[in-house]
Amino acid sequence: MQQTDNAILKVNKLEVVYNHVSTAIQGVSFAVAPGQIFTLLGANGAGKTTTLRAVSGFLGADNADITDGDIFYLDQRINDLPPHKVAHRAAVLVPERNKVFETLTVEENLEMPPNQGADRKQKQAKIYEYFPRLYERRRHRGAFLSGGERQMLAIGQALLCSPKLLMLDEVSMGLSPLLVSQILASLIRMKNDLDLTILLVEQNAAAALEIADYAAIMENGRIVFDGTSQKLLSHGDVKEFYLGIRQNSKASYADVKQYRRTRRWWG
Amino acid sequence: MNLTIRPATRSPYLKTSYTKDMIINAFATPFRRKWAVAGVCLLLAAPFIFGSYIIHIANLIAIAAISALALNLLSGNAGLLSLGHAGFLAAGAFTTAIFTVRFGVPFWVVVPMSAVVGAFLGLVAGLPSLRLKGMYLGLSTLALHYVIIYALSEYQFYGGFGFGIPVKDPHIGPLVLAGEKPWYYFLCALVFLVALFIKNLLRSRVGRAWIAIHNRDIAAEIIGINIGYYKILAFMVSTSLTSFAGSLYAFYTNVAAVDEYTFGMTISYLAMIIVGGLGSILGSLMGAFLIVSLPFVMIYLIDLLEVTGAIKDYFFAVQTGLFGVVIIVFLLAEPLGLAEIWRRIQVYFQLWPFRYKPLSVTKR
Amino acid sequence: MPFFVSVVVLGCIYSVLAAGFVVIYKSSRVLNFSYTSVAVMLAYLTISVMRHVPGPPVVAVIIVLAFSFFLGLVIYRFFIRPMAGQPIFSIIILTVALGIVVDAITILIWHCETENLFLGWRAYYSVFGMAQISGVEILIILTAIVFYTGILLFYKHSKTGWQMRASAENVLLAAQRGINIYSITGLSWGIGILATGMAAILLGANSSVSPQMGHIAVKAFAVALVAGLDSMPGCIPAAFIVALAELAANTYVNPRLADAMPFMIMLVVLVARPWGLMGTEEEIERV
Repeated sequence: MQQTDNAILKVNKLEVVYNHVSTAIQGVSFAVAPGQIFTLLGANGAGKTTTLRAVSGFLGADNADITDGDIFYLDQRINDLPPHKVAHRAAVLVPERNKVFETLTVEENLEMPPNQGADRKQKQAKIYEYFPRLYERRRHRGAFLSGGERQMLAIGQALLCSPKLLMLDEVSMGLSPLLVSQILASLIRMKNDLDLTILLVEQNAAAALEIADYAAIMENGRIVFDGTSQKLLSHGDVKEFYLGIRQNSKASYADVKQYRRTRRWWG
Repeated sequence: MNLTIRPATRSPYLKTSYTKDMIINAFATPFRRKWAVAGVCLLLAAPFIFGSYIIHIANLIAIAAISALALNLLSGNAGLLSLGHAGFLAAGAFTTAIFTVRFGVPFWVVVPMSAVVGAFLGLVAGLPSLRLKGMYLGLSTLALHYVIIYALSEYQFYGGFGFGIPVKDPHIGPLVLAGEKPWYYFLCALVFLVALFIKNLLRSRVGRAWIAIHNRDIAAEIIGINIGYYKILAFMVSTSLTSFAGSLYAFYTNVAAVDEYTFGMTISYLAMIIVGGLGSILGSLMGAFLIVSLPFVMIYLIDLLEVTGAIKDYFFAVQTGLFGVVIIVFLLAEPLGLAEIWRRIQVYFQLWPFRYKPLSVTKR
Repeated sequence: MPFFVSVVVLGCIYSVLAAGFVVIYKSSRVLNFSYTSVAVMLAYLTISVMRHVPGPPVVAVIIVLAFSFFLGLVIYRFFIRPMAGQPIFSIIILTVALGIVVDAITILIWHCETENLFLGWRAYYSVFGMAQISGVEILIILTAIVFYTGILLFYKHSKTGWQMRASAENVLLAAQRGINIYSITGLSWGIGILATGMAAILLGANSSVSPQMGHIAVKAFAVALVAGLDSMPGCIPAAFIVALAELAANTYVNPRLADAMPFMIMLVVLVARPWGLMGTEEEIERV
């Protein structure tokens, strides 16, 4: 875990339990430094989304509880805060599903976040500048936007909540590679313009590691490896299991049986 | 030293044959089987331990349980909200009454007839489900309820039956099914059979189709489930069971009176399955037990505490009010019902001394 | 002409009655089955307040309306909010149970006597010299107009109105975007019960207050369905359609049919056009 004194987000040994019975994540600790792009990688079911939602607040809808550990945002403990209070503290989540309001138009979606201030028209114009496609579709309802447009709208809407920490859940899900790199490039632009910190949760390790500064890998509810993105990109196991790069180009069936292969999370 | 390694044949999680795998969970291990036998013994011995008043309550609970199981199947497992339950019960009761009184049809014919009538009504009730969902479907079943009740009340009134059609005790061959004790054994067996039937139905392809439709009907349709067929089937099975229960009720109480079958009765049944736990068979049984015995408990308490004054005068209002309070308390405390409480107790003992199920081991 | 006047008055009553229903449905997706019981209780409460508080009836009305708003907040905070995330079915049963309890309380406190809610206005006025309209009826019409203008403007143009729409659609996302869903939903329950109280007072003043009054309030449900359960603008035409149908049946056919008329219309709507006049079509798929 990177040692940061002024971490914007510090998660300490977090444990989340579903339905009062099943542990979803355990012992999860990481810290996100200000101005950084931090990415959480992992396969399906690793617990990345659960971690994000624990940070941004559950709403009681999924019977999930934080049973251990702490979450510190700007040095304040925010365990169990409801989502709107977390959003007020400028930690905003772009969720994986149901990320826009479907019955409202793009314009209305962007008007939705409260407390945008007197200069909200300028802020909204800036969003249209980042995503020109949204301007073309501004009078269309959320339900009729394509996947990529929805993602752009969701990010834009989140930005209008004036975040200091922007959390993104599976931004690249369901998008074409070209669109993914476009959106990630815009993310970097926004980060620089608006002085954001970004916490990115991704399955698409290649795309994420390209823009991230620091990364952590989750498996089965625990963090198993972390480091700078250089470190991950050069690690053999990461390359094999998350980036699809094989050591020797000739593959044998023995290697296909991944479950037999040990992952060397040391060295 | 004599170290005997006991093979894991007694674990409920490790099955060693297909037959053992198919056994219902409630009877899967020797421990559970022992308790089941004890329970059955207690049930069989009950009429000799308790007085006939208690057994009468038990009989009412049993009939309500059959009806609640039917509603649970429809609304809890198949996810089709039905607000017309009382109407189907009335249909069963009245079919029984009409055919017994007017045409002298014997017991073992008229009861299946009521079930068939119920199935037909289920077909009618199920048709809107092809188009409507959720509350809208509930409202259409409510409308059907009012239509049925209206028709039956006209019959009762114009047929000169005053307060209700009297129904004689049923004869099965030379035996007469009268009195609390014979009914008790008969109904216990019936409840067991109905619960078993529903449990197996839910484990079959039909039951899985219902659960799939309930969960995500678009996905169910995509994998090839004919949702129209299964929705109507759910209605038909449920309402025929309900009418069956209504028929039993008419025979047991010896009357079919349309004023009993109000929307309030439907609410009671909905309360039974929700307080018990939607979708759970055990839940419906527990819910029926609780909701049916509640008024009797209140009568007992009021007598015991010798309450006087406004409460005694307006006893009915107090009773219904307390009924509402009980439902509210249950819903707020454990919205998933008694079945969930039971599940949590079980899990507590299974996991003890741990509190939560551990994470699976990280792949090595 | 007298027929026309009755239709207008009944339509106004129905529209305010239905509003209480729709406001709550719009925000919480809950069909508030305790509606009729709460309406009856509030009517009785008005009478009691009028008896014990000196001053013109208007004072009692204001007190009861304030109490209704507060009651809406209380119901939300203690009964609806703890059920966040539970299936809608359970929450609806909760409102039914709540209605049962409120009914019981009403009977216990006020017994079952029919009372008269007298707003202090016996005057009758003449409409174009062809019909009579009482002061109360004029009040009903005015209230409906003022209420609806206010509510429609609120929903369409105010920030809070939008936030209500958003949190009705997707609670979690609304919360994640900084909308305080607790206060928004609480506010809508307050408004909904306030409308219920308003309608109850008007209805009581127009006829009489008794536990049977609840039966009339059930027709509001039919109106809401015809309107489209989440459509405030739809309530206006729906109320008048239902009122017209009911009074036409009453005058030209048979009073018993008039009683059943709203439910028959409800059935027709469910079969032909479940989302009502102006409800969102997606409602059907989402429920």
